[in-house]
Amino acid sequence: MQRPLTGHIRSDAHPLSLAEYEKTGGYDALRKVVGKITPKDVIQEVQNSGLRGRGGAGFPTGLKWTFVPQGENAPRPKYLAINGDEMEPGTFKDRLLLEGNPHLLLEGIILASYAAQLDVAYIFLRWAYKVAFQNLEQAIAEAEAKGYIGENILGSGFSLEVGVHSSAGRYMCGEETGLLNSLEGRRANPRAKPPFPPVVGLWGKPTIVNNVETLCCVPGILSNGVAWFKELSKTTTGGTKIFGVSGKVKKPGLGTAPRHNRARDHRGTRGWHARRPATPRLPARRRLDRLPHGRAPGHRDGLRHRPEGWQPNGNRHDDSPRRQDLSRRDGPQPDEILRTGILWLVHPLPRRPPLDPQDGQRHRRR
Amino acid sequence: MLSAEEKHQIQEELPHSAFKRGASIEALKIVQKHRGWVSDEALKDVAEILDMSPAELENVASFYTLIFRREVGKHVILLCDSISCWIMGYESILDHLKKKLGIGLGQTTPDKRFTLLTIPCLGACDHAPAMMIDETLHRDLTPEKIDRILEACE
Repeated sequence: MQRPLTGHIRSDAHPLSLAEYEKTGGYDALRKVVGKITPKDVIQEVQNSGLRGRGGAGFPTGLKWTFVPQGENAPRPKYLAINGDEMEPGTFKDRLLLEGNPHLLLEGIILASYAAQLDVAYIFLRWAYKVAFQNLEQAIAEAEAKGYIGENILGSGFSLEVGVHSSAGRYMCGEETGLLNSLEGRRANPRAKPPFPPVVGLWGKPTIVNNVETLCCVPGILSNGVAWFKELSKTTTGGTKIFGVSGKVKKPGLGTAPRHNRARDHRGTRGWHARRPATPRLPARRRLDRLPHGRAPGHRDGLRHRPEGWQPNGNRHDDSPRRQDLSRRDGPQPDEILRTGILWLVHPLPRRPPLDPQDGQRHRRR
Repeated sequence: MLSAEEKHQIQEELPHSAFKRGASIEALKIVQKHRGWVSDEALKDVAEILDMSPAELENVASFYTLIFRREVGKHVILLCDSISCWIMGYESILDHLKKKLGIGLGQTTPDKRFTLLTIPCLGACDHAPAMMIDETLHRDLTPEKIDRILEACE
């Protein structure tokens, strides 16, 4: 199985240097694309690949990039904010990418910025990722020295500035508009939408907010092509997904899977027995509900456009009844959860019977 | 009063942002790095540099968990109490720390060496239980390991 994002990461916890990254085919896409293919065609290529956001919502990435106003009258500067906040408990997939292969992210950032014609990129990091912070700063310096970041990249006339911001620790910073508020030096309260960030974002200027893993997919798409990316999984949207397993399992850690994989496909591999207390944590928390049954696809297509707007794909809206049970007084006690496993902590909730049209009451089914 | 060093470092942060207030979190972190926490006086001085009112900056400072607005010990222990660490024995680790330091959560030892706090997730779930002391992450904690770590902190 191919691991395009993590395959080259060294096992000794040292990040890939620029030279090592280039040996693995790094910055090939940059040289192939910047100044040689029009930004519009780059966006089209990413749209064709079906790449969707890896932060949880699964919004089509290429489509998001098309929302940025272009042309001479467009407001400047335009920003790219990279969401590496990753504050969801049990989530640590981006840490691997940030610490292990910072240049992959940088290449993704440069390509995304070129495609949507953005001027400044801020990498927003979770405060605890001190190692990632250092690695990124070093990688940026290396890339600047090589002329991949800065003024007039590879003589194309395109310029980009990249900076790293380390958060001061608040879960809400991971929400895209909360993240923008945080970058502006405000409380990370989410903003009301619309207007959406690609039109009115950081300091009121057009801003794209993309997840770390999403941007790491971009170089591969542009250097290996759409067909390659689509073949990585059997879903319509292509690519792989990194997922984390932690808790009382034999080998906690991260894994890469084709996006069509289900929770049960991983059962028994690497000691991940789903009947033990484990928290397979794909970013969307609703996934947790379904994992025990093994029915949950690894990652669905994500948001889908419906008449009422962008909606989660095929998920119920009674978000996580299992979670509510944690606080129920007669619910499972902590030691019981430890014994039985977090995924099995709840007895199925009785389904609410429908209203009887005759007397307006709810009758239990006989 | 802010020291010349602090002022200089804050000034260096300003050009990275389109407006001065964009550097507010960085500025607070700089002050905290020098003093361990952000006092009312320091906050007022920072607000002046950033062209913000002290109330505005306080609004920001009090929002973020890792900006300390009360005096803390020389070393701040941030123990993860989130789900994976909890499953892997956070409670016994916490008990050990409490007994060892003789303080409860949110308290500082009388000699002002340690402050004990919890934190929701450090992103080290695969090596739970985890804690962070100052800027160093400690993973796969056991009571013995904690004893060694605490002894190593001056």
